[in-house]
Formats: sequence, C-alpha cells, structure tokens
Amino acid sequence: MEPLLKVQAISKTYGQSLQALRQVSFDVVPGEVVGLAGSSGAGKSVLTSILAGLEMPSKGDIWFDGETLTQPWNPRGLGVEIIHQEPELVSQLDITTNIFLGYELGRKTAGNSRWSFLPNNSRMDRKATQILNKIGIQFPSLRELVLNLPAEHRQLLAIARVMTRTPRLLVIDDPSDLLSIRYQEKLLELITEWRANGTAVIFASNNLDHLFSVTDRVVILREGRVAARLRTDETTREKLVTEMVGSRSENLTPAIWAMDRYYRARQQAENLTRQQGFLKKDLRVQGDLNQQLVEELAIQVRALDQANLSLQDAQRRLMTERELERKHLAREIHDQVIQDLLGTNYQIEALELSASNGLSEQLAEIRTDIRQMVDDLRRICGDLRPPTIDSLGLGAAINSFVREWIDRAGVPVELSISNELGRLPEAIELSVFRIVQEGLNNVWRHAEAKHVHVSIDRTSPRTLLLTIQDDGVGLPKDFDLGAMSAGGHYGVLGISERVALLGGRLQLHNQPKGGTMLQAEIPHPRQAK
Amino acid sequence: MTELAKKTENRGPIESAGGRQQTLGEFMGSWWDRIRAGDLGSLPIIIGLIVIVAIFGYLSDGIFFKPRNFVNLLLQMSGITAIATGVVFVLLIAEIDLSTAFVGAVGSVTMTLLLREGDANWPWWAAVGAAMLVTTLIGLLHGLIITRAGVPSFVVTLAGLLAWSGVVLILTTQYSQAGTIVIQNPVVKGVANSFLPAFWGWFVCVAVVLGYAATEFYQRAVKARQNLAVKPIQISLLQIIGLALITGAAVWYANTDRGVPVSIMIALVFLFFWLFIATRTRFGRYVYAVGGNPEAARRAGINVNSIRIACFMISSFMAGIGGIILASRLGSVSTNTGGGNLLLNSIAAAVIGGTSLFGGSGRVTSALLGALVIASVENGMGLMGWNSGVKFVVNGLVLLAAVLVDAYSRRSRASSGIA
Repeated sequence: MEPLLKVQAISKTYGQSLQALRQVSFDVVPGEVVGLAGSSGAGKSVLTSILAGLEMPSKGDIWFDGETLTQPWNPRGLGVEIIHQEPELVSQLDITTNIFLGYELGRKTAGNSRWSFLPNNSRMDRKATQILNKIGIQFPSLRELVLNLPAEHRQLLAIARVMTRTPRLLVIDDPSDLLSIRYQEKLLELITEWRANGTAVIFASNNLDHLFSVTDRVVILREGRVAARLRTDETTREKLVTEMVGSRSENLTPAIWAMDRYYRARQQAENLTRQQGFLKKDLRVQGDLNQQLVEELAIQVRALDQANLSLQDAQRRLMTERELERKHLAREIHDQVIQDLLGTNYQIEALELSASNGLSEQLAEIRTDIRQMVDDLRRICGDLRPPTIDSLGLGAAINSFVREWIDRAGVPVELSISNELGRLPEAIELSVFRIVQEGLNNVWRHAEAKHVHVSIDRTSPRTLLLTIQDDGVGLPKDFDLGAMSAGGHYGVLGISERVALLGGRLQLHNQPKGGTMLQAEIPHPRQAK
Repeated sequence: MTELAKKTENRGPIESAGGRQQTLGEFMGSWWDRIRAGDLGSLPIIIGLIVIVAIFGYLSDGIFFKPRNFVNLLLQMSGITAIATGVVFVLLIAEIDLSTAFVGAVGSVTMTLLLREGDANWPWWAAVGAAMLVTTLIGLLHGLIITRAGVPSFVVTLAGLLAWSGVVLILTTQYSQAGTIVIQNPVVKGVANSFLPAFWGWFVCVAVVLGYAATEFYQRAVKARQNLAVKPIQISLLQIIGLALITGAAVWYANTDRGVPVSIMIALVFLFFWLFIATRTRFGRYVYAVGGNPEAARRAGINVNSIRIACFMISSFMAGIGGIILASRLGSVSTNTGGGNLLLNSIAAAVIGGTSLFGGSGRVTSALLGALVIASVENGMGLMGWNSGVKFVVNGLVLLAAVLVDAYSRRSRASSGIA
C-alpha cells in the first residue's frame, strides 16, 4: 500500500551543535499503528512536534498523501490529528466548545460545512455526549468551563477532540502520564479501533505493555537516529529494550526490569490510591459506626499495648528472680557444699597420713575426685552467678568467663573491653554477661569457628555496643528468628529477648568474609560518677 | 473531594440530569451560590449605575432626571458605545487599541471632506462608505503590522495614535484656515440630531421585546427537547417583562421630550450585530479561543493571525462609526476631533462593562453598560458645572472602582473554584 506519511531523512538542529534528530526516515500506511520508542532525549518529542507542525525540521522532507509538506502546515487541515503529551485547551471556554474547536458543526440540514460559521450547539452537545460516553466519562454539564476540570479530564477532552471525525493520520505523543490506568486502557482500545477504520497511527510511548498491545511496528530512536525498525510480532521485550538502551551488556535485564517495575509500581500505586479513596468514602458513609469501631479498636490496641508492657515487666521480673535464685543457689553451693566438701577433703587428708599404703592410695584418688567435684561445682557456681560480677563488675566477669571458655572450647578469643565501661545497673550487667555467655556457647555449639572476637564499646555516653564475631560457618540460609523457638533453639531467642527487654537493638547477620556477627546495642541510664 | 467531583458523583449521566424544569427555588439558589462565589455578572455595574444616578439626581436637584437630560444622555453615549463595542473585540484577544479615537477622527474627516459642496460633493452614502472603508483598512494595516512583525499592539497602536492624529491635523488645516470644516449634508447631520417619531419608538420597543421573547422560548423548547435542564418559566417571564418595562420606560420617557435619538439606535444595531457575531458564530468562538489560549487555538487549526487582524479591523470599523456619530453631533470636524478623553473613555467603557484586560472573557454588551456609566458621570458632572480637573479625577475613580470589583470577583471566583 502507498504510505500515507513518508518521513524522509529529517534532521533537526538547535543552535550550532545540538542535534536532536539525525536523518530520521520512516513511513506509515493507512490502518497501521507505528510505535515510536526511545529513552528520554532520543528525539521522540521533537519528532512528534515536527509532525504536529509546531516545529520545522532543519533538513529533510515530509510527504503526506503523495505531496510534500511545506512548513509550517496546519495538520488539522490535512486530516491529521495530534494528541499531545499535555493538552492545550482554552480554559475560559466550555467542554463542548473545546471539543469542537476548529471543527464546529453547523445546522443539521446543511450536512456539509456550508453553515458551520453558525455553530449548532445542541448538535455538538449531542455528539460530545456520545463521544464522552464512549471514552467513559460523564460531566454534570457540558457548559462547565474547562479551567474547572482536573488535568486528567482535560487530557480526555483532547482525546475527545480527535474523535469528532475520523482522522487520516493520528500522532499520539504518550499522553498516559496524565491518564489513570483505566483511561490508558481506553486509549489503547481506541487506537485499535482507529486502526480498524483505516487511520494511520503514530504512537510514541515507552511503555512496553502499551507498545506490544497495539503497534504493528516499532521505530526506535536513539540519540536522534533511527536505531531499529522492528515488527512487533517478531520481536521481544529484550530486543526492544536493547535497541532503546543501545547496549548488549548484562545490564539489559535490569533495564527491562526497571521499566516494567516503574509502570507496574505506578499501577499499584494507583490501585492503592483508588482503594484508599474507596476506604475513605466507606468510612464517611458508615460514619459513626466505623468511627466507633475505630475507637474501640484503638482502645483494644492500647489494652494490648498495656498487656504487652506488663508481660515484659513480668518477664523482666522473672529474669531478675531467676538471677536472684541463681545467685542464692550459687552462694549456697559455694558456702555450704563446697566448704563441706573441702572439709571432708581435709579430713580424708588427715586420714591418709595414718592409713596404710593401699588405703592411702585409694584415699588420694578419692581426694582427687573431690577436688574435681569442687572444681566442677565452682564452674557451675560461676555459670549460675559469675563470682566476680558483684564485686569487680562486668568487665572482670566477662574476662574471667572468656578465659575459662577458651580452656573449655579450645578456641582462641580476642577480647576487647572498653576502659570506660565502669559499673552499670545490676540488671544490665547481668544481661550483657548472659548475652556474652549465650553467644559464645552458640559459637561453640554451631559455628565451628577458629577464632572469635568479642568487644564491648561505648557508642555514646548512654549506649553500649556488644559485638561477637566469629569466622565459622555462618547462619543457615533460611535463618529466621521467629522459627527458632519452634525448633527448640532458645539461645538466640533468649539473647533477643534480653536485648528487647533492655530496650536495645539486636542485629544478627553473616559477614561478607564468612562467619556470623552479632551486634547488640543496649541503652543504659546515666552512670553515677 | 472537590466540589466538582461531588457534583459529578451526585448526578448521573447528562441525559438523566435534565429533562425537567428547575424549580424557582433551585434557580434562585444556584444564582445566589454564583453571586456568593464571586461570579457577579452585571450586578456590580447595575448597582454602581443606580448609585451614580441617585447621587447626580440629588446633587442636581432633579435636573438629571428630566426627560430632556435623559435624551441628552442617550445622545452623549452613542458615540462611546460604538467605539467601545470595537474595543471589546480587541480586549477579548488580549490586545489593546490605543488609536481608536483618532482612527474614528480620520474616518469622520474623510467623510466630511468628501461631502464638501463645490468640491468632492459625494452623495452621503458614498462618503460614509468611503470613510468606513478607510477606517477598516487602517485596522487591517495595524493588524498586519502587529501579526507579521510580531510587534506588541500597544506600541503599534500608540504609533497609530500619534500618526493618525497628525493626519487629522494635516487634513483639517489643509482644507480650512480655521481648522474647522462644517458638515452640511442633512442626512449625516441628522444622524445625531434627529429622533424617532413616537410611533417608531414604540415599534422598535415592541419589536425588541417580541424578538427577545421569541428567542427565549425557542431556546427553552430546544433545551427541553434535548432533555437539558430548563430554567423556571417564571424567570423567563420575569426577564421578558423586565426588558419590556425598561425599554418601554426608556422609550416613553424619551418620547415625552424629543424622542429616541437615531444615533443610539445606530449604535445599538451595531452592538447587537456584533453581539450576534461574538456569541453565535464560529468567528466569535475563535475570538474567545485566541484570547483565552492562543497556542490551543493554533493547535485546533485556527488561523490565529487572521482572527487577530479581523479584531483590529472590527475595532477600527466601529471607531469609524463612532467617529461619524460624534462628528454628526458636533456638526463639524476640526483639529480637535478625536482628541480629549474620548480614547480613554471608550476603553474605560469596555473595561467598566466587565471585559477583562487579559483576554478571553467579557461580553459585547459590556460596551453598552460601560458607556452608560461613563456618559452618566460626564453628563452629571456637566450639569454640576464642575471643572475638568475634578471630572478627570472622578472618571479615574470610577474606572478604578470597576477594575477593583473585577479583581475582587476574580479572586473569589478563583478561591471558590468557579473560575
């Protein structure tokens, strides 16, 4: 078929050096939708405004219906309609007048345009209503001035203007920025319809979904040049984007992804807004009832908060009680059992002197066992209640615990404790100690680490930062703190609970070099000097 | 939610919205809403007019109200009304024409020279036709310079003001030592010095009222057929009766003196002609479109430049009509023709009547209301014998008041979302 529009080697230069278009050529036949794609700055808008007669090309020809156009032309005189990115309407005039501006309808009897110098308002109103119904929008009055309409409705009027007659060529410069998804889809429907009626359509858009749903071919502009001409049926999104972006690197997928994500996000945002609108409307409609419900909900949430607080309080008390119990138990064991055992040991030692050789050997063995028991009991005491924490403070307690842990686990630990640590409230000192204890035990049990680093620093005068790093196997991939308790692993959970009770923050993650890092930031009250 | 969205939501499709007659209450309600929102229409100027009339009626001990003065007032305002009608078109496309008074003077001088007995001695219709042709061509010239060279109309017509005043001076002094040329043609002299006989006065009055009533009922019928909301029948009747009363009273009052002046009839015929052009024709729509948003008009396929040229031609044409009426009233043209505050009065009339200086909004009838205000003030001050200094100050204040009312209503319209 003869092309309706032939663009031949058009160039557009601004000033001396800015080349917006270089040798752009393409053509369009009637009943064909040609997409025009290209990232911003590729020259899409310049090309459409040249086609719209708003700008003149610096070089090249445009042929329309076999005749070359001399700039500046009047597109509407040729049956060419343009939908611009942003509509230009006369705000002081009403809806009907704007829709038919430049192409008024005269008396019905005339049929031709002889009488169109006397526009027939009622006829135009009727046709405007038809067109607007087809687009899917209704106005309370067609006499409404356009300046009272929101931007989306103005854009719809610009589309309605195109529908007053069947255009021969339609140039659409992506108007979807102003349109909600619903009307974007409407526009696509209309494009398909125009195409069926034999209109040639040029559709500039970067929305891949739109391009793929309506176009027959896509002309891709890049840096002012035609980068590619693709048949929509025979191409893929990747190919299209490759040409738009102009590189075949692996960065391509992210580019498609980003574009799709952008449009999809917009759609979601719009749905959300709409739902929010519905929700607001519902709220208003249901009025008092909902208000009441919301208030009740607020009360319950507050009650829940309170319950949560008291639960925390209870847990804190429980923990304190437990610590107290342990302290008690430790003292009991230390002061009673160990002393008794030592006394027994001395008695056996005395017996040993007066005993026969065979017996004394046995007695020595028993004494070794007892000393072993005492050692074990001391360790248990230490675990129950770090012996040094009450007298010498957190630093000393951790120090001695770590030294003992190294003996037990056989893994070297680098310990650095800030000098300014000082004394803290008992609950905090104990909690920190327990976290270190639990953390190191976790390392021993799961990490298979070669080296561990423990540090306690001050990040501010009122916060403490505890870090435990290891170079072990790290956390499992599907690590989920919430699922820990189900599996019976209370270690990390206990740590997180303790941190939460102190109002702190816990971070637990794998390190880039391997191994796990546990960081707990714990606030504490001002220290007494 | 905006007002508009609410409206959209509450009402269904257009078809179901109308198809019935609004009740009187609904109509008054929506009218009052518009007033409160600042869409005052002609209300302020009518109130202003009543105030002005009351003040001068009181100050002049009732002389202002005498039939003789009423007819004088009509004579005084006809020239300004004609010129202001043309100015409205130029203001509608957001331009200005400062040359109208002297273009009118060029027209009237041309006519007078062509009528000179013993010299050109053209028949009156040929002389008037030639004068109108000259003024219209002057408008074409202004329009061409403004559109082709892209020079602001302010500058071009300012140059026109100077140049055409010079032309008037040259022509009048060339043919008369004293600089005053008397018009002898009885027809032309009759324009501003003859009056409709009582019968014809009443005839015009009845014709206008019947014509108005006919269009009103025709429009009602059309709207009803298309299921659009129709305003209450009481309002239509009230408007018709009101018009009948006002025109009837005016004709009756004028008839108790000399009768309705022919000059005001000429001005009104042209005014209604241009009113029809502005509101009912495609050209009128394009004028509003070009004034409102030239870019939108251009993209809609309107030849913006030819619309602008046409508006300057209308302005100069109506200036010619006004110039002839004014010359006829004086019975002569002189070096002073077109001078004084004629230009400012004609522009002020259009603005006071409610035509926006920023283009795109205003009515042709504003020329009539504005001219009535200006002429009333002039007439009243003339009766009081105030000196011209005071007159200028008062004129300035009236203009300022009109612009302030416009600015106020514009702002409240903007804040209420109507405009």
